[in-house]
Amino acid sequence: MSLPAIEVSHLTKRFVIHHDHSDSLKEILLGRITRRHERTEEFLALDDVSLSVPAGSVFGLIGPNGAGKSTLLKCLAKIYEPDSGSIVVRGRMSSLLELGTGFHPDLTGRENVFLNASILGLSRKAIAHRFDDIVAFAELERFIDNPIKTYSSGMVVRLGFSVATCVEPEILLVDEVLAVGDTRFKRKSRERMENLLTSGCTIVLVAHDLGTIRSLCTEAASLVDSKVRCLGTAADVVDDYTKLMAEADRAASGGAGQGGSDAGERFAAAGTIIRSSLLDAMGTEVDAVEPNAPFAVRVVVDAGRCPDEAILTLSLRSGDGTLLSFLTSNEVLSSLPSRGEVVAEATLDGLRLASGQYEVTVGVRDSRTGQIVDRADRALRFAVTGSSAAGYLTPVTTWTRRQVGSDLAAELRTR
Amino acid sequence: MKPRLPSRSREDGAPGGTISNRFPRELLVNLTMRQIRGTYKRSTLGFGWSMLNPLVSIAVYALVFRVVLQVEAPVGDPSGVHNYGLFLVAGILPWQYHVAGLVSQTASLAANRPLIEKVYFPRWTVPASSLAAVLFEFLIEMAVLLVIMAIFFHAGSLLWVPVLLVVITLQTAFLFGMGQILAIMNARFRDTEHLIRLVTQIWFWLTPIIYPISLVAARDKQILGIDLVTLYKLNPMVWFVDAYRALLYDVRGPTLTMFVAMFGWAAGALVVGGWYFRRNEARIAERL
Repeated sequence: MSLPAIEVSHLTKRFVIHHDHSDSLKEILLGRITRRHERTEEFLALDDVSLSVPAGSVFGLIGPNGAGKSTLLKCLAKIYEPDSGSIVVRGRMSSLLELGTGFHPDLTGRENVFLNASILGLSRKAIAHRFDDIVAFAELERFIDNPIKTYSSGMVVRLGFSVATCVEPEILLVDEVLAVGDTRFKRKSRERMENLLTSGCTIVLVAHDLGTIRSLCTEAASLVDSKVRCLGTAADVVDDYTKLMAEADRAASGGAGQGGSDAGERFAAAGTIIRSSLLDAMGTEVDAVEPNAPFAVRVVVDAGRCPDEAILTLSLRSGDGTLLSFLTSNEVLSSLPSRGEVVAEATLDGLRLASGQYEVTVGVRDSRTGQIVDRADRALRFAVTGSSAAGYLTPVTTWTRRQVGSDLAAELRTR
Repeated sequence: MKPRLPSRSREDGAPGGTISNRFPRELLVNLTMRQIRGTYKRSTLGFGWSMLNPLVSIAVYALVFRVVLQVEAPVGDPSGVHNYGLFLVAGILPWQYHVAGLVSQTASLAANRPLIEKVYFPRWTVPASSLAAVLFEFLIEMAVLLVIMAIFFHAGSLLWVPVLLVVITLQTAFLFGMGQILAIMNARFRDTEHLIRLVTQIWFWLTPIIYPISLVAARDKQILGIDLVTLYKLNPMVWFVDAYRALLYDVRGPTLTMFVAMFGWAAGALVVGGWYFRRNEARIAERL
């Protein structure tokens, strides 16, 4: 077992916030004289953070905004100096904190590649050696001698990514830049990251997309309120974080009922949808389900505010907003009584979701005009826990194996 | 938990790796080139501006001081040159290098804020490359001046080029020492940029550039019981301007005293500036 690539122990970082923006010398001097010091406040960005990143692993960092993820990354990258604690880094490090920084708009792409690569520590010879690869990867052969200011933002980011990853680092710090460029470039950049991994590179990745963390990372840590909350395998940390966020959501919605919600964000406030809730197979309201258990979405509708021919729509989204399924009902809402509450239920079976946060948007449409009568965005939020798969789905999987050589020989003999 | 002293250790990989700790020559060259190219990329006149600026100020000063106030330039000894314009140029070009060097270094860290906040690289290269870009222009101006001097006045000045390079090196060292302090100060207090412009204006008139120091010596005036000339000699720029004048106007080597003074100021500034910069460089990113 080799030594960890990064060891952080008892790292603490404070920032001093100046409430009055006393950036000018005058105010500082006056402040000294009149002894007015109370307008500054200390903010603890990292509080006794300890973790170690194994060599060759992909280490994910998750946490809400302002929890200290970026500060930690900047401390690792030597951009910030910690107040106390220690950081040990073993290996050449490169960082993708923001792509295309340091590009000068008036200089050509070529000039900027040389500039940026030398900031990352490459010698002229090394840059010249990699230059064609850098340009080819960014797909900018035709534009490389034009000034950067004529580039589209996507082109700038592509070039930045291409330069930053050509350094062949042993440790790479990445801050939510995987989602750059168009779909094709996204795929290419993901492949480049995976290639770096197979060459033994250690990657520290900050991302909000829990799916990315689960699918790419082996280990992870969650930072909450400047402290390490959970440290371990990516699956465990994501599960723990998912639960935490679900609790926070419930606390924020202020006791809207277990798993149920009477509002969500309303698209059209017709008041047709009174409330909706999630039920397990036993018919109890829940906010978390097992991957393979059936569950039902119950929607209570005000019949008096419903058109004669209405349909119920459900859109199931993952926590990152990806639409997984859009369902429309049959005539469950047609020929309703003229007043009173109607309970409609959709039972979903065989969905087999992966662990994570999911949400359901409920809508009512007039089936003749196609118009939306009422819609409650994210009316239901629920967690799926206990799945071993990353991504969105937990398929029923059977793994088999057989010896290739013997089977082949047997097959040849039968011919 | 007891707070421990911050420590940071890097166990770098095998030598010959792509990212090394050796002198960042490549980075320095590229940052300087960015500065130079960026300055003139979109102007039609380009480097012409580098020539035009000193020419215009020299013309104005010559008009006011030679024609209106009738300040007399001393006769170059031993060159025998007697020309107020040349006298002025020999002092004003080093002075303009001085001002440009201070101002550009002061602003350098703040101007490169996006870069500093996102990537780690040796921070001193930022003021250093700003100074290098200004030095580059100054060298061109000096070359042009030497050619003019050799053709129209005294060819002997060309022999002093090696000594001239030593003086330029000393002035550059002096500027870099000061620039490191000013750049750090400006990272926290943006007033430094405005303050330095004001200070250099006062400094300009207190340095014998448009008038000869002999005029000051002739005054025989005392302030707080000290000769005015002695007070003048506390100003480091007096020594530098004197040395340039000796080489470019008088066409003789600067005296040993001048060298000792210039070396003292350069070494002092480098030591103090380097110490101050190193003490603060780790916190630049958060102070910006």
